[in-house]
Amino acid sequence: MTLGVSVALIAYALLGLVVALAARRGLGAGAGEYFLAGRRAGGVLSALSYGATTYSAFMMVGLAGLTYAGGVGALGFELIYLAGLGLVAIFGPRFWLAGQRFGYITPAEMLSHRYDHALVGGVMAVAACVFLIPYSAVQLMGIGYLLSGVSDGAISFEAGILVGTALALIWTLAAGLRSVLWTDALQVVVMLVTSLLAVGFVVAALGGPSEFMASTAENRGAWLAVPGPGLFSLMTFIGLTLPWFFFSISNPQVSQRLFTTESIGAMRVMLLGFLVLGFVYTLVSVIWGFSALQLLPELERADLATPRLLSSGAIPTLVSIVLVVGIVAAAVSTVDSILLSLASLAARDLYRPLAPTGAREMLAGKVVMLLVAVLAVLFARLQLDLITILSVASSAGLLVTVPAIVGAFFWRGGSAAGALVSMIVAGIAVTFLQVTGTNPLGVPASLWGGLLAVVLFIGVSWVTTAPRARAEEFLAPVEAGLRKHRIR
Amino acid sequence: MSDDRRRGTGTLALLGLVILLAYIVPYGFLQAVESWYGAFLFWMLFGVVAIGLIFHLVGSWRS
Repeated sequence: MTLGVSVALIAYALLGLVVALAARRGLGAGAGEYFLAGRRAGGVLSALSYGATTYSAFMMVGLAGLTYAGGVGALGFELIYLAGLGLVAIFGPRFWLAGQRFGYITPAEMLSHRYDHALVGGVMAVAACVFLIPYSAVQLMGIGYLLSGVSDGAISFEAGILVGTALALIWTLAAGLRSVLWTDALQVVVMLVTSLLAVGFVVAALGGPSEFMASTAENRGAWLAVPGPGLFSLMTFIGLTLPWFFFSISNPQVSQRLFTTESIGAMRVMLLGFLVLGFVYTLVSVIWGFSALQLLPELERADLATPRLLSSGAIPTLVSIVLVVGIVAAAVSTVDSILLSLASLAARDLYRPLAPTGAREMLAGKVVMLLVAVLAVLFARLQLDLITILSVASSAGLLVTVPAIVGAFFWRGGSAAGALVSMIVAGIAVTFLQVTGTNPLGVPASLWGGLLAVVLFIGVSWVTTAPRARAEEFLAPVEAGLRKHRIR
Repeated sequence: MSDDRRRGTGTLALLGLVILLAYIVPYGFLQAVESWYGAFLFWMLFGVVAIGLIFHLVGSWRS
């Protein structure tokens, strides 16, 4: 198994390298080319890449683990996220139209311009760096657990995270978003096909769909209801789903994609394609988790469900090997997009305001990319428990940017002070609550953080002066574009 | 408000309602149903309906 996985990983890395290097051809100069693929991404490619970026080790390792530990609530949690893609139907065209008109590279840059204050984007960029490092680390941990698990420790946890980091860095540095898009497309196909195959084999090993369903209902009935065996109390469910619901606009590695499509039509294809892909992948991951529950009932850690299932003998070795590659691909394709997005935020929203001539902007971005990669590796080595909870903690942090993003398009009274105070104070508060594990009144940190950000954004904006002229200048082309494209 | 805009608002309101039901029904009415035909089936249907509403929402976009 170890030899097979090693060979398959090398083959996958080489194939990815060829694709990444091929993507370099036709790469133009400038930040728009590097970070946004020249705003010429087609719909299908964007959908595949959006799927690869969003879905990560979190799905077949984390969500499967969450199903193993908590049951059907994992399905509800992930499908509520998917329903949150309705936000892309609202904000996607608005981001795109504003990006076309004003040439934004990052969502933070858009907020700086909209609120007429460079610090707004700077704070958003810092928040993204702080909160996305644990999220990247989670992906690397997923690779580490998986490779060490399936090889019985022959491939160490540390070696796993270093392999993941190296691949993500190479594919990002090769040609920016162009190489990320193409390697993502390759990876999403690998991850979807391999997971479908694997779940087919594992359900067959349990006697086929009917037998699998009957035995689950009989032996693990509690897992088919909420709160189930205990993990999914209503408050925990809300605490997990709320930040995830807003993921599509709060996480820059995906919201930035709203600037990249070649047209509104391509954005629609991206959204719809992703929804179908997401629904299938969610179902596969949850069924995978339920299967693990039957085949491996006494695991000490839920996150080990997938690695142990792969080495359990229920799945042919060859299928196990390709699924390992599929999961590694899922994780790497998320990390590389995060690295690229953070590089653009650092270059455009932190470095550029300090060095207005713009010299070495790209270099600054690449330095940050390396720095973030190193920090993510260090964080991953801590091996904190439960991948999913950590992922959501990152999104809970980014949730504090949502009021300022919503306000940019829907409230002319929003001010820079309101945006800044909401992100800084709520960001610090939610970090404190999560680090100390405090849930005041039994309400989860994410909910407190989100509420505090809304109250502060509205309250502080009310008592400060909003840049109304800038709001008009910003919104006029967006509203005209919405009418032109018949967007409701 | 144009017809398009009104239809869009209606679809969004419906999506909001469906999302609310995704919390209320499994936690309110299906807690005791330890079967695939309880929360699992409900959330599957919820997913299909939510995706359908989003399809409807973006269906009239003109490129």
